[in-house]
Amino acid sequence: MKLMTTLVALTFLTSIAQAADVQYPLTGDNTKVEWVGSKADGTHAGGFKKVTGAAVVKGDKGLSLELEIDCASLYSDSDKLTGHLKSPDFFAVKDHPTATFVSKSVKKHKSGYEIVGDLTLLGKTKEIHFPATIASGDKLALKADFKIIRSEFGMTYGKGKVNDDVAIKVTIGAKPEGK
Amino acid sequence: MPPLPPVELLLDVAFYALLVPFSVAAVVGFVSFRVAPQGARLAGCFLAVVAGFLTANYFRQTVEFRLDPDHAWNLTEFGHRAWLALCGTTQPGGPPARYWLPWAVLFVAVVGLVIHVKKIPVAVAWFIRAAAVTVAALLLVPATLRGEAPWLWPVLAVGLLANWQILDAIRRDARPIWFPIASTALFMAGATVLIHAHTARFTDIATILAGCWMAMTVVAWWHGEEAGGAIPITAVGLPGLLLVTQQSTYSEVPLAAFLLVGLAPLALVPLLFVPTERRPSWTYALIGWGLLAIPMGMAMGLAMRYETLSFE
Repeated sequence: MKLMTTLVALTFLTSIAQAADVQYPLTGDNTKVEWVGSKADGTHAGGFKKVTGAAVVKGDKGLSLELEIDCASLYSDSDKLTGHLKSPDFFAVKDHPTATFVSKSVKKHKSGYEIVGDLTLLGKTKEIHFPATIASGDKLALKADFKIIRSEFGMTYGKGKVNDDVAIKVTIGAKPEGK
Repeated sequence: MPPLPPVELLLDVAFYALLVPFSVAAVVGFVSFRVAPQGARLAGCFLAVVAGFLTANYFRQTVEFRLDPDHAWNLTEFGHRAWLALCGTTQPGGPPARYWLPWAVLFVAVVGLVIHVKKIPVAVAWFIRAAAVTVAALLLVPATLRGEAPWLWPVLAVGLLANWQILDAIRRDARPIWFPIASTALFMAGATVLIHAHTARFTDIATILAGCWMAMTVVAWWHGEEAGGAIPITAVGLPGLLLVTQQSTYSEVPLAAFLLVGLAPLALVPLLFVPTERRPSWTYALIGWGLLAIPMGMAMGLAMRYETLSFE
């Protein structure tokens, strides 16, 4: 009887927790993933037009984030550069059409949040962490500026001429599902 | 007049992708021609081109030989992946078709050397070559593409075999420098098409191999002996390189441009009807280079017409 009561209580609590979860569908319209690559004599900027995924605000327990980036939707400030970036010299889009990010933890700090997660690029998964500002309510607003080291993902071509670190900017402004 | 690349870029390519492979291939070629016995000189030419390429690859990082750059090369894993690629099995997380290019060329080149050194009967040699290019074609056409175009790998195998047979038949009796010059020109034309497809990595591969063949031209001219032991590097490597580039890049360069360079040796068919005793002449060599220039010129023209380079 005691076991039964415990199970019922657990089921009840779980259902409350699930009800408290708020899901924010992410698309290219509400989520911007942009980058700035640099070399000795200048920089190039761009991003990805197609992004899908979801952010889930789990009551008081924080946030989880899953993003899938359509690498073929890559754009830059030059059409020729876009073609070059899609080639196996950089993103090898035909072999690796998507890049993904799955968060593992989102921790609150004094000045904002620290997001830790797995970024998969060129088929290689590495854990990355970056600071972010997050506000949720009627709308989930997330902003993050950080850098990744492209060679850690096997993007080694042009090393020495094109800088290894790439600045990434993620901006999310998403409404809850169904609103 | 299209904009020229920056001077620093030109100097960089001239040094690392031309001078370095040229120098290394020349040294290895001269040493092997001087030291090696007659029968082993074909292998010497092959070694010279391979040494030139590997040295330049060290600086340019054009080809990755490991399945995972973070781990040491593993024979078991390599064999397993190669078998799956041959069978056309889709490999999630597996290497792309371009990974197999150097291995396919190496395999076919070694088979070619064995055929030369062992003096295998012509019919058997044909059969072995056909089997070798079939393996190369299966490795170079990825599983997904094999599903979409099941005819592609057999057609590619036939094209590779035809390239190989034609180049081998002509270089056997032509002037010693005929084949190295033809190979240099073919890889330079290939590099021109590839750079218009917006890939520096594959352009580098073609340029490095052109540098190696330039060295073999000097070696063949100096020693007065043919340097055709590395024929499959041109006959199989060039079409393979163009295929993997066409399949993995985004550009407006038409398919015909890739095909015209990759299968340019087919334009040499008329030379096969010239009597053997007339083949060592300069006229024969000039006509051969002229015939190759037609598809190469058309390919470069198409690439330049449909794509522009940007050097910003």
